[in-house]
Amino acid sequence: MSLWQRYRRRFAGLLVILVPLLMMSSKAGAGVGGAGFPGGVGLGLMGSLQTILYTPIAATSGLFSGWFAGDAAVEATELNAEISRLREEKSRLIGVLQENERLRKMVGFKARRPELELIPGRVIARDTTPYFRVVTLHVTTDVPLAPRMAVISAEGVVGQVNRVFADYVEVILVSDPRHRVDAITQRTRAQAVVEGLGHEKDYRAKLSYLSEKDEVREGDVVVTSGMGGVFPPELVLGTVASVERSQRGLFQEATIAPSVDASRLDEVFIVVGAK
Amino acid sequence: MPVWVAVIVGVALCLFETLLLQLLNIGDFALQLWLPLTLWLAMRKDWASSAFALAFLFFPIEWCAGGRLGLVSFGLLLPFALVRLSGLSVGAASFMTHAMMGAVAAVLHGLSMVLMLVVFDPESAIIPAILWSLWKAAVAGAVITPIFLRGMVRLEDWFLPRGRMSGARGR
Repeated sequence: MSLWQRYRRRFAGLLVILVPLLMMSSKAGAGVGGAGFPGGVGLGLMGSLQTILYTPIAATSGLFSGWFAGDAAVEATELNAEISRLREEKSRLIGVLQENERLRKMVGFKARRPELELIPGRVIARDTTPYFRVVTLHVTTDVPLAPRMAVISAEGVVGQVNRVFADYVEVILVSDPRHRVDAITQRTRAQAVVEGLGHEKDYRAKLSYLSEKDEVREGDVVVTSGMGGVFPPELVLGTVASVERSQRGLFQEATIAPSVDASRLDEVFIVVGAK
Repeated sequence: MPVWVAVIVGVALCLFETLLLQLLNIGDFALQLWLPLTLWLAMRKDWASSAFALAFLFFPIEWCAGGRLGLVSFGLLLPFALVRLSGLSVGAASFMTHAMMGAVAAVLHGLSMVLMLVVFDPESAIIPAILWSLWKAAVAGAVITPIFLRGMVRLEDWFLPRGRMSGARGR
C-alpha cells in the first residue's frame, strides 16, 4: 500500500477542516473593503462565468416572467405557436420599455448631480445565502475602481464596493449587516448611523446612535451626511418606517425602509469622485 | 458517479443560483443549493474523495455566498460530519426524511457559523442576521434537499445504472 493510499483519508479530513479555517484567518469579507486577495480572484473567475451565462438565462427567465404575467383566461385556452410568439415578443418589449425607463431615470439623476463622477454598472448576480446582501456588478471602465467606493442609483444609496477584480465589482448593500453609513434626517438634521439589518422584512436597515433628544417621526427622509468621505452628502438612504427607544436608554433606534428596492436592482452607478 | 462530476455540478449550481436570484428578483429567497450538495457528498461511499471535492467546492461556495471568507464553509463541516456519521443513504431514505435532513442541516449550518463568530468575532453584526434568517434557510433546505437528492440519484444512474454499481451507500 502506497503512502498516499495509506494516508489519503486522513489527508482529506485534514484538508476539509483546514481550508475554511485558513480562509477565515484571512479576515476577508469581515467588513466592507477588507483584505480580499482570494476573494478577488474568485470574483473575477465567477464573474466571467456569470457574464457568459447571464444572457441565455436572462432570455429564459424573461420568457417565464412574460408567461406568468399574461392573462389567465388566455392561458387557459390552447397555447398555440402564435400566442407563444406574441407572448415572447411582449415580454421582450416590456423588458426593453422597463430598461428604457430605468436608463432615463439614471440619465436624469446624472443631470441632477453633475458634480459626481459616476461609472455605470450592471447587476449580474446575487449572493446565495439568506444572511448577507451582496450583488455582483459587471462594469466596463478604464477608471480604477477601489473598495469602499459608494454605489448609488437614481433612487438613492445602494451600498459600497467590497472587492474589485477586472470588470467585476462586489457590492455590499445598505441592508447587509456589515454595512454602516453616517446619516442625518432631512427634516431635523439629527445625526445617526444607518446599519444594515440583514434580516426582518428583507432589505431593511436601522438607524442607530440617534440621540434621544432628536425628534424623529415615521416618514422622515434619511440622507447621507457626507461625513467619512465615502458617500457624497444628501443622497437618499430611505424613510423612517418605525421608531423605538433603544434598550440602552441613551439613544433611540429607528427602522428604515431603503429608498432603493434592492430586490429589483439592475443598473447602478459607482461614485468614483466629486468635482 | 465520478467525484469530479459532482464538483462540476456544484460549481454550475452555485453560478446558476446567483444568476437566477438576480434575474427573478428573489434575492432574499436563497436556496443555498450547496447545502444539499454537501449532504449528498457526505452520503457517498468514498468518504475521502467526497472530502476532497468538498474542500475544492468551498472556494466557489464562498465566492458565491458573498459573506466573510471561510464562514459559510466552516458551517458546512458539522452537517457533513453528522450525516457521514449517521450512515444515512440517498437511496434508502424517504422524501420526508430528506426534507427534515435539509431543514436540520440548514439550522446546524447557521448555528455553526454563529458559534464560530461568537468565539472569534463576538461583536459581529452578522450574528443576529444569521439567527433571524435561520428559519428561511431551514424552509429552503426542507424544500430543496429532497428534490436535489433525487436529481443527484438520477444523475448517478445516468453515469452508472442501478444493478451495476453505485456511488451512494445502502442501496
